[in-house]
Amino acid sequence: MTPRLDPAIHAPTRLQIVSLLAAADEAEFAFVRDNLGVSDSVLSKHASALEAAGYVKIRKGHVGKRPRTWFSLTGEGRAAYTGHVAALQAIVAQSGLSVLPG
Amino acid sequence: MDITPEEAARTLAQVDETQRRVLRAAPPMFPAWYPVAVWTFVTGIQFVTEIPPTWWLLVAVPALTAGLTFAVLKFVRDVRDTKLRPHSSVVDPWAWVGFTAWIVGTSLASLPLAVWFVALDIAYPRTTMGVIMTVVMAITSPLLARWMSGRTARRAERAERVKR
Repeated sequence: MTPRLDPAIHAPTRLQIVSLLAAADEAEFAFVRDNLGVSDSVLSKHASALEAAGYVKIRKGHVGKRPRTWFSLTGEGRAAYTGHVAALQAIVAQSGLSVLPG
Repeated sequence: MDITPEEAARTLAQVDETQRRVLRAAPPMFPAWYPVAVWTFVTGIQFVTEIPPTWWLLVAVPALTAGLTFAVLKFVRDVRDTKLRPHSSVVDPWAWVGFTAWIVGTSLASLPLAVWFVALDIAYPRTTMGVIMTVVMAITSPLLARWMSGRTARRAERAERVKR
């Protein structure tokens, strides 16, 4: 099957969130926010959208008395990320380009 | 949905950069205090079976076991609640090889050390061995945990260089 770009994770911030989570079993809200340089509200909004799409699982808990939130990719989310990256690689390969520095 | 090859290449580069940055910022692979807690328990068992009167065992063994149980529960909670647990696909397998070698090596080294202390006729040889191994753990655990994280981050960077 030809890999296809996934509109649910194509937006830059969503793709950043998903790529971060693809490298993790689970990542904590503040860690994701700080490493992506986004605000709490932006991260919450995109995480909720990804959860609604079935791509991200959200776990809430406490460390000491402080509430914390952790994100992880679902199997569906990981498959969508892999497919999206494969589609991007196919586009690049067809053009003969190499990956540009970020 | 159409994007140009240049946009696709730039997006892929950002994906790789995000993953590299995250793995560099990831916390150590395991809580370094845990092996120290395990060896403190081992040392405690050696102490109560070697030094105090036998009736001490009735108090000390349950107390030490309770302490170890608490440490195991805290370890599980700390691992679960860490800021980032790297996915198995990105962890350098050599990091786990090193970890296993460290566990097996230190455990095996403790036996001849205790035997050697017995042969040297040192007072309380098993307890002395336990104290030494606890110190060894306290020094090497943080180094090992950071080395494992470092290997994983370097592996991500090497993979990116190979792709380019």
